[in-house]
Amino acid sequence: MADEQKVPSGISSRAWQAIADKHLKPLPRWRFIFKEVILWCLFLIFLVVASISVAFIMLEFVNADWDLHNRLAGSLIDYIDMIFPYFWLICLAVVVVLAYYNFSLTRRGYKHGLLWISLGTVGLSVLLGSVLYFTNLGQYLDSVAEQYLPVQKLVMTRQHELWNNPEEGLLGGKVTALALPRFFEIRSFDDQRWVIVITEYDPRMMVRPGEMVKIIGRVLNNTTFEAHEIRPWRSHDCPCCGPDVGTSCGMKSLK
Amino acid sequence: MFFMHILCQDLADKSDEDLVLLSVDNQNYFVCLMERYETKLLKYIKRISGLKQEDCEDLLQDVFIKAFLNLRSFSPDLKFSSWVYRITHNHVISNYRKIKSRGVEVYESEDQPLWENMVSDVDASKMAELSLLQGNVSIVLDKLKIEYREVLVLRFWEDKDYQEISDILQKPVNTVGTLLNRAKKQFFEISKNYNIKQ
Repeated sequence: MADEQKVPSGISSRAWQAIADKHLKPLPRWRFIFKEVILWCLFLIFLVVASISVAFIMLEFVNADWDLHNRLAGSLIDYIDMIFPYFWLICLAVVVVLAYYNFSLTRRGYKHGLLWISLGTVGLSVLLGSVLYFTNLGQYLDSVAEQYLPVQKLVMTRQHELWNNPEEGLLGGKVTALALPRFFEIRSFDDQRWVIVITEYDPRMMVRPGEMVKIIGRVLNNTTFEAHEIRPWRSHDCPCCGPDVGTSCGMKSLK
Repeated sequence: MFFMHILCQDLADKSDEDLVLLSVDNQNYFVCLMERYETKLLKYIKRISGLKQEDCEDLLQDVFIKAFLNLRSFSPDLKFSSWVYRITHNHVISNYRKIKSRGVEVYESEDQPLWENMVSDVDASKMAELSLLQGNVSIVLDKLKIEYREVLVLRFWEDKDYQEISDILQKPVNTVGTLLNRAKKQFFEISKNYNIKQ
């Protein structure tokens, strides 16, 4: 009975015949390796995009003026809603899903569940995103995104509007001229020139032409603004390039 | 083909994995692998697809050709049986989707399953009510979703362990456990309904 089962009943011989007739040969090994390499490359690309998203999310939160939430938005909730990087969060979520799907197609990818792959991807993205954020690469990406990415342009436009309220004591813009230690000049976001009066000069303060700054203070007249505090526009646009890199200038105490 | 059969008898002590290595260079050895798995895979296809004998045979022939073409993708970190069952599973599922898209529903399996295993594995108290089902299991199977049907077939008919099922279905072991539980639950639910209707 057992022998009967071993005799090719026809299917094996039909298959064997088909293989012989069509001169079929096993596909070369490089094709399978190539497919695997492509899958891993795609996974790496998704990981890089996820890391960039994380870097931007970090950038938005680090650059937020949490202490000014009431002045900027009325309440903390409104302020969070205002600065929340929805686009990057959605981008991160989409990329994590794609990375999961992609990873599950790799040779051993199926062994891991959705939770572990997603957590792993997010964890690696946070790690790489932090590296991007704390290196010049993050700074470069930020400036590129601001220039070319419509979503980031929109975020910046909203920020410009918030910091174009001299009557409210909030003024932002690009430094155009220096007359330190008493004055410097900026061009605000509505293209107006302002002379900024520094009430007390901090030697660490290195406001440089071409840099973007946020100034908290009060209007003295139509073209003059008294600075009580000067902050970098983004954490890497540092007007106080001393030990307090990324923080506001020492003028904070001058309120 | 007869010589092939003699050759396969001589290679009876060779493992599946050794035969794969030999088949890559000489297709004649692949006949031995096909012979080893022909009966098992044909039954498996019949159980999960519920197609007619001739259709199952055609599917199996395609499976063997696919397996031959992909021989170099086989890695020894996987059992050959898991690998070939995986190819079969993928092919049957793809065929099932094609049939389903045409709106044809077929299930003709006449196998008497090892349903007792399933009962003792879940809840012995259900034994009595399930005894009524003896002989009608294939009808109940037919009413299950295919992913539930195949996981039950692999576990209780093909006697595969969780790891092997995981390798065949390409799902994590935990997911296999969850699928099996859900499949058993649905199986018992449908069994009850079926008895009531009777």
